[in-house]
Amino acid sequence: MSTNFPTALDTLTNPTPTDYLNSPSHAGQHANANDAIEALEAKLGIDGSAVTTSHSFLLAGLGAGISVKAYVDALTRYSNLSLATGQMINGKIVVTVTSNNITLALKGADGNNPSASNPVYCKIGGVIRSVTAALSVTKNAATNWCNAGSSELAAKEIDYFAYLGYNATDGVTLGFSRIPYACQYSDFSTTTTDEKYCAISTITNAAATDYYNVIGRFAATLSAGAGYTWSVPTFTATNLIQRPIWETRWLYWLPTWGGFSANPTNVLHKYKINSRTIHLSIREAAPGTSNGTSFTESLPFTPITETNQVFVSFGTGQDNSVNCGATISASSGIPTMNIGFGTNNVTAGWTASGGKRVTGQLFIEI
Amino acid sequence: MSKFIITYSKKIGKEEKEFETPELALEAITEKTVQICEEYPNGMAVIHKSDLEDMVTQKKANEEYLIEQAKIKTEDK
Repeated sequence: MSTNFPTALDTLTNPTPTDYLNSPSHAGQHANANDAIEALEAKLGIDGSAVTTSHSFLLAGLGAGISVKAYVDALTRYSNLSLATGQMINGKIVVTVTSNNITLALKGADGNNPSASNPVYCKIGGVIRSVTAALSVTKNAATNWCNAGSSELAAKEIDYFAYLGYNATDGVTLGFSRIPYACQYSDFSTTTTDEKYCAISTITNAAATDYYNVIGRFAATLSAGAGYTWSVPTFTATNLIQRPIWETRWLYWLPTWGGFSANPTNVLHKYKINSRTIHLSIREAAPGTSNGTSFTESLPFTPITETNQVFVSFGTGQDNSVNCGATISASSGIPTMNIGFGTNNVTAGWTASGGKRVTGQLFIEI
Repeated sequence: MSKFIITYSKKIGKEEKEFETPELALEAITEKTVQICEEYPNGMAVIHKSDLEDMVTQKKANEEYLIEQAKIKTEDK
């Protein structure tokens, strides 16, 4: 008889003191006992076993002194708490740059990686999920990630939103993006250089409706040009936020002007993203020199693509060095702001010489 | 891939059963069910029947999304 374990239990014959060595077979008794012991060893598994059905493998994540019952009990206890979406227990984000590459990591409150004895809990898509293994995402230099190295934004601090997502095959995933409003995977672009891209730890099995929720925000800078090197500031309470948040600070961008031989100076271009709205504030204190009847400035984010959509406001300006009113507008899907002279609601009507500038505010849906 | 562990109440103690898909887990819920747990590669979650129903709905939505994307790609060609 070979062993039936682990698919079924063995029924072993115990010899009595008066049995002969051939009945039951002495060698057979040893062979059966040996087979059963080997089957038990295989089921238990060696230290650090990679056999997924072995107990050593299945219990590996728990760590010394942590029972399955204690773990599930803690999970059950936390699952009854009323957490807000994206809110964590025992979790925080840690952002580092090494050799110009950026890493966003999820850590326990003690700064160590999550584990079964140091689990991080977070409410994702209405369910409190635990993370019991190291989780991070790294994006190397030399790519224009999220279009953050564009001429408008390169070398300027940008606020990135940290997300936790969930996929049945990949488990809990970690990502960061410039947009704060995503609720599911399909809200992001999958193009690495797109402004709506999300850098995610694992997307091997990502599905359109996978939940993604903001858990925090951090500042980082991508340099210009082919280098596209990452850097992060000294983190403070304002540039590293450890809670769900859906707005950036007021940040800076540098537009590319159209309609000038010399650009305006003493300028201040600021923007703030709040959920799906971007607020723009433009101040040009000293006029540039006009060389065309049009007046355009590039934007830090592309307006939503929607039929018939135009965003318009009014500002003050200067045409041919004379003060005037000006319309400021942006159209569906075009990352350029049009400034119209007087009542022109397109970029037209300007004198192709003399001083030209604009000051005003605009808000756009993204 | 996630697996779903349903705990049933027994006269003495509890009994656990594992299921490979949310559909199978959903079908296996009875009045004796006391807890539904989902185990995925890097953690676990205690979930509810409505979460299983959401997963089944999402799977269908994803399949429809992929079919839609495939159609768009075909039309682009």
